[in-house]
Amino acid sequence: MKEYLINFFVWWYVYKMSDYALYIKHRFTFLMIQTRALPMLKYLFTPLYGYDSFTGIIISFFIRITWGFWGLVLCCILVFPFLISFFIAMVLPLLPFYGLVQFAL
Amino acid sequence: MNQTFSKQKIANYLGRIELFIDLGDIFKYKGERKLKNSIDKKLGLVCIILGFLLLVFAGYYFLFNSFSINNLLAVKDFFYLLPFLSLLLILYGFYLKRDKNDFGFNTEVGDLQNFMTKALKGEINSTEIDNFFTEELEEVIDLIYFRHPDNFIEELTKFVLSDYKHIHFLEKRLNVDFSIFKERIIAEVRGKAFNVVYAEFFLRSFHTAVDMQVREIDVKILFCILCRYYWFNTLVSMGINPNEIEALIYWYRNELKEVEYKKLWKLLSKLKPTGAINRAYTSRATPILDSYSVDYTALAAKGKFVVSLGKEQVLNSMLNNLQRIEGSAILLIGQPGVGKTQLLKHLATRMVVEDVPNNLKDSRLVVLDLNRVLAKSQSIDNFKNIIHTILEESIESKNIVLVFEEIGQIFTMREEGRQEVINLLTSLINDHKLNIVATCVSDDYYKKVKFSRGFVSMFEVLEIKEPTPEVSYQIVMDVVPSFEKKYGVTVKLDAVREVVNIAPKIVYEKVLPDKAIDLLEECVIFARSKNLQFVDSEIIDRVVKSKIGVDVGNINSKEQELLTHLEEIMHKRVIGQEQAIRAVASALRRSRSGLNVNTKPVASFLFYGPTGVGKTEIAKTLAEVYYGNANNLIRIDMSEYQEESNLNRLIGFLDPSGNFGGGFLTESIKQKPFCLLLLDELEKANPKVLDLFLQILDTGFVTDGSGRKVDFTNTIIIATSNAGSREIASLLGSGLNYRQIEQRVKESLREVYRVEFLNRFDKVIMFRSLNLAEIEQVVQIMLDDLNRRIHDKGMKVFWDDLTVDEIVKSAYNPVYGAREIRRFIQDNIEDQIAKGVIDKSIHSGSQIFFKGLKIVQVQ
Repeated sequence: MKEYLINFFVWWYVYKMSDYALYIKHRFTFLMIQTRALPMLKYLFTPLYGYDSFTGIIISFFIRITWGFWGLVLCCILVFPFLISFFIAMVLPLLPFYGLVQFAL
Repeated sequence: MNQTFSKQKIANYLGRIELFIDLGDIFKYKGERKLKNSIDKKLGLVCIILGFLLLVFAGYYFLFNSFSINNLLAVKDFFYLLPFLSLLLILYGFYLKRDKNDFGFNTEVGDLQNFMTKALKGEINSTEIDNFFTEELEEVIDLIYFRHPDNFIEELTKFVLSDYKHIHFLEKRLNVDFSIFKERIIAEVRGKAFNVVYAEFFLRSFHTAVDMQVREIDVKILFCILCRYYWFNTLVSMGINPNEIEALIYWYRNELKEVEYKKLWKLLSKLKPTGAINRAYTSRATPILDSYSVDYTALAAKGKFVVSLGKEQVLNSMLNNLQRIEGSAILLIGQPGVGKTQLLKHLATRMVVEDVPNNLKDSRLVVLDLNRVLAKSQSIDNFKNIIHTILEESIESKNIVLVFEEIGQIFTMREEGRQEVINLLTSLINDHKLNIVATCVSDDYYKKVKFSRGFVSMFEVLEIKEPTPEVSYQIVMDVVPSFEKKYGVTVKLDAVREVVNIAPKIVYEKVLPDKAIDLLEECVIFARSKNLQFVDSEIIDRVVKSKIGVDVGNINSKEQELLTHLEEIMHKRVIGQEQAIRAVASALRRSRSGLNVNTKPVASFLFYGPTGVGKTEIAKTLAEVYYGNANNLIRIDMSEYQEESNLNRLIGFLDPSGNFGGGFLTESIKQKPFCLLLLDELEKANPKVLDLFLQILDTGFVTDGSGRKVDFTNTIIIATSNAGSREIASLLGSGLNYRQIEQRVKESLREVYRVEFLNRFDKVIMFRSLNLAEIEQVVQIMLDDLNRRIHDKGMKVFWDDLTVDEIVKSAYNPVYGAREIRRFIQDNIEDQIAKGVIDKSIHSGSQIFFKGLKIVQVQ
């Protein structure tokens, strides 16, 4: 009983979903690094190309924040389908029971 | 079988981790775990297919009937229930088909590495070993236990050997007949019952997994446990020594680790910039530096380097130093070929896979080519300017670990330029502005760099020592896959062993592992040129023999024959002296059978006695018979080394400008490590020179004038001496036997040589004077030798007993032994033939007949 019924839900919600969430997180981080958005946001107040002056810092700040923002938007767009699929996957095992309950009523 | 299984304590691992095994968990399904898993998988597949069929059917139904989403949200019709049921079937099908290692009957498999880290910190002190077992391993143990409880290990062996992967690995790496090997292994492990071996088996599996640094205990580990503990005797009986068994296991581990590393590299190398600018764009372009350097991280990101797991220890101490927030400086010193560059390449690969401290993750490892800078600089000022610009660029870039390879070159520059460059580097390192790694050859470091104390004190000096043969094994194994890929030839384990063992004996210019790697590559190329599929120890021996002309490998049938009949072979050339020949032959047999001490010469003898009795002849014969060529004899006339100052001529010396003048002895041995060293007239050498040989006889090596060790462990040393010859001659007529004379003469020998010196020889052998019958045989041999020499010219000499008698009568002298005979034959026999050749009475095809000492007929 435990193995064939309860463990099915444990497998899906505890193991599969956490695994999928981790995959989405890794994918997002990977994209953030690949588009250089993450390093840009991480070094927001560090001048670009080592131009260590006040002007350099200000210009860099704007470039970095713009880059970081658009990078973040791009990554969100690219990861969005995965997020949607994650939420669909969350309700998938419950749908048959919903159908059965509706049918029974 | 109605047994109950419980959790049992197996051992106290490392004295602080309590290890349990829950047999109840493993044997939960009483031998049907595998069957159950297989049924689950098939059932899962059926569910998935059924689910999709239902979905298709529902779709077909909705296609021909009006479909309404409201009907799907409020299911009233059975056909609208079908999509929900199909979904349930598909999901449940995937659940049944799941990988049970990830989510098994209990929980997912534990991470052994994490567990050990916590356990060693004292955070956990007990565990169940089966928590780290994969589902497949538990299936195997469960099945075998319930079917063959009394033959547990035998059945495990059969299972492991039925897997293609393991057979392939063994066949690829071991140079054995696999069918015999398999038979013997099964015979070795027969009859080991589970109840007897299980505690030991589970403990060994845990220990091996910890040792191999794996995360879970699977069938691959099972293979290693069997190799290490249960197949041990068979492997040893088939010529694989215990070190090789360990090496085989580590090779297997390295192959697995490399696969893991490559996966990581494939993913993370995409994130690594291959240009000068880092990911955060904080660094600057470095055009001048780029034109004089090689970016190792960029090359590693392109997959140019191999992973080297053998030098992790040095690399970790390097990384500890480099993770300082402020700049750091490391000076790597070591002999050429010890692996300094390889270590840097491995560091670059680790930087690419981000297996380094945080401050190095976005850095570049740039190797400055000092030779290129020197070559392109027109003047010393120009050189300084370039170096200055390079250093400025590196500092401003802030993401560079700058490598100066062979920094000793700076110390060979002219005084004024050198000091300025050194001052520049010193001030930068002092200000902690730059991460610098410098490499230097040990000799340069101890002779030049070390004396610049201010400069050296800036660095953390790490000496890379020549690795032990065991570590060299692993390093060579790391490069084997690249050779196999490049040349399409498989390398066997015994070939790796052979190159690691032989390379130090034949190559002096480099150190391990480089010389072993070079030799292996040479052998792989040789094998490819001969269209051979693999390289084994025999191929290595063949290549080495072609290089040095001496057979250094295992005893083959030809050599077996030679060693068995060595006395007879030597007696064909040396008359009498049975004791001496017997002693020499025994020493050689001991050496080639591997019973001798490896830290001494192959054999060492002191031959003493009158002149002309065969002392030198034995040495020459031995060199020819044993080393295959009379050229493998190095003769040193010790009368040339009567002064203490002559020592330098033997071992070399450094002149005041630091140049090394090689010594005759050490350079000869470097060129011909497998040779016979003949020290003639030893008694005439200076006592200091004898002390040098005392060390060689004792330890098997000597340090030459440049501080390099020269190995004599493959050399036969024969010293000859005329000491005691007069006493021997006088005692021979007194009726004493050989042993009695030897006892008496030994006393007088101790007056010439120190006792500790005499004791260093394997055997001190007295040569007695030859009697007339023996001298006659010597004459016969010398005349035969004359015939051999004139054979090419188509001539042949015939003689009678009178000839031999007259030669003996005229030439024999008890003081000079047989030495006068050769001269006499030259003057009286050869001279007559020479005259005949000149006046054309003797020509090609002539048969010359002697009666006494006169030519009586020429045909």
